[in-house]
Amino acid sequence: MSGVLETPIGDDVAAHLSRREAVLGRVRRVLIDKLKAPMAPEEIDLDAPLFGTGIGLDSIDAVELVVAMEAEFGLRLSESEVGPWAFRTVHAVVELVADRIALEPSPEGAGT
Amino acid sequence: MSDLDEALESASPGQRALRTSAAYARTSRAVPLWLRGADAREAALKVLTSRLLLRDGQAQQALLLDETARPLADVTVCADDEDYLLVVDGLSPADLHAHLNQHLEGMDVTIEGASESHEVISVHGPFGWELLVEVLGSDLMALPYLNFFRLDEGYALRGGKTGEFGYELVVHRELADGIEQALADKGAAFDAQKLDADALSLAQFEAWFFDPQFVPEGATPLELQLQWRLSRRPFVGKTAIDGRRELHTTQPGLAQKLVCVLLSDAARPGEAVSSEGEKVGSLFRAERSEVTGLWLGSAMVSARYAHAGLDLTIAGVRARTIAPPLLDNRSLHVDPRRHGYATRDEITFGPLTRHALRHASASTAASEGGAR
Repeated sequence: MSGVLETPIGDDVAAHLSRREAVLGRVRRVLIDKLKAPMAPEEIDLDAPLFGTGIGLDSIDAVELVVAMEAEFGLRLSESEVGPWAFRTVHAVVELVADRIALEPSPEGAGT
Repeated sequence: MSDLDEALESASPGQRALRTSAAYARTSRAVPLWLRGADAREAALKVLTSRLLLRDGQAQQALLLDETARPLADVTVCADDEDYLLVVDGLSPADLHAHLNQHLEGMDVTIEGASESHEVISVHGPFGWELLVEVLGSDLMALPYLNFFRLDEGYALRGGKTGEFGYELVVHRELADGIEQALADKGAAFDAQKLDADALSLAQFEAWFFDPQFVPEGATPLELQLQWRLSRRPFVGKTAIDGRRELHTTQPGLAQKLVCVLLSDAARPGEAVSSEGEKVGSLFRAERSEVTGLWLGSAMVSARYAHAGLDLTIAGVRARTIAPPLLDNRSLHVDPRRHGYATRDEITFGPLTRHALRHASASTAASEGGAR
């Protein structure tokens, strides 16, 4: 495979990636600690489906996931934000949380 | 009407039906096969990657890998009493038998090909379930995801790959013509359309579902973000998986991931993907999504770039990484207990393209590269 070796990353890109990676790390911990996903953190891929297959959550877990994400990130997610598409993959959750944190006036809950 | 709504209206009848009503396909890609005998479970555990925690009537998604961990096929494995029914996409019947014979030698297992006795017909769409009920009976309304029912006609497996309600009917070959005719006849009330293999492949891409026809050179389930299909027990390809994991740990700069990108225009597979002027990967596939009018791509990029929201360039074409899938599928808003195609106007459907992606699309089209 043609590997892409280390390339320098600009400050804006680095900051964006760092934020996303930090959110991903915390989402993985929630999935393992609160939702009992039977995987190591590094085995939880961003594009893994959450429900039915993939991580294997069920409809009861859906409520628990919302509650756990709100607690973990200090957010209040509205009904429209947690629509059927919002939690389809790990990536979708990371995006939702990362975007919300970026909009929050206070850094509380946005720590790494 | 927005550009995206106009795209849905101008999409081919098959793509529009798949995303808004019902569609069916009779392709030769899916190969059914049984593993039978005293060692059937051991055989399945050896050649399939998933954990296989199945009760009779349940199904699971798995992979067939070669010894280098390259995915050869996408497999839906069904626990059929003491046997395993595999619905395999990616290998011809001859290649599938050769692969299994190679790795199951000495086991007390019968590899019973079903491609001569059975055929696979698939049904898709937000109201695909309703069409299926009309053709094969109301019991199918209660069929859960990744479960199957036994029918006089064969098997009805719920396990779509397009983001919509999806079913694979493994039916006796002599009944297949009649079932297709019934789907066409009953389907008229659903504005149903027949799909070809290319249409299904595009829909699968929009849903970001693994397609064994499109595996980048050297990619394993790690690069394809399919680790959820990997058990920790030994299986064919596991040694190579472990080796790749070790390599990624010791040399993280070599790790790559397949990511989903929105493109501002057409781009050629193989072109370099750049971030801030530095090459970070290469484009693997690009397709125009008929129902949205957007150019969708997959790219192999350095793993540290595998997050949504990055602005990239691909041979002058602007691109942005996104969290797939592309669509807010209407199937997510349809409840078979309350809804039906005839009363679909009572259902509140949002735009077909997810909100965040409409924003990304607008940004990709409007900007000359991003702040990120």
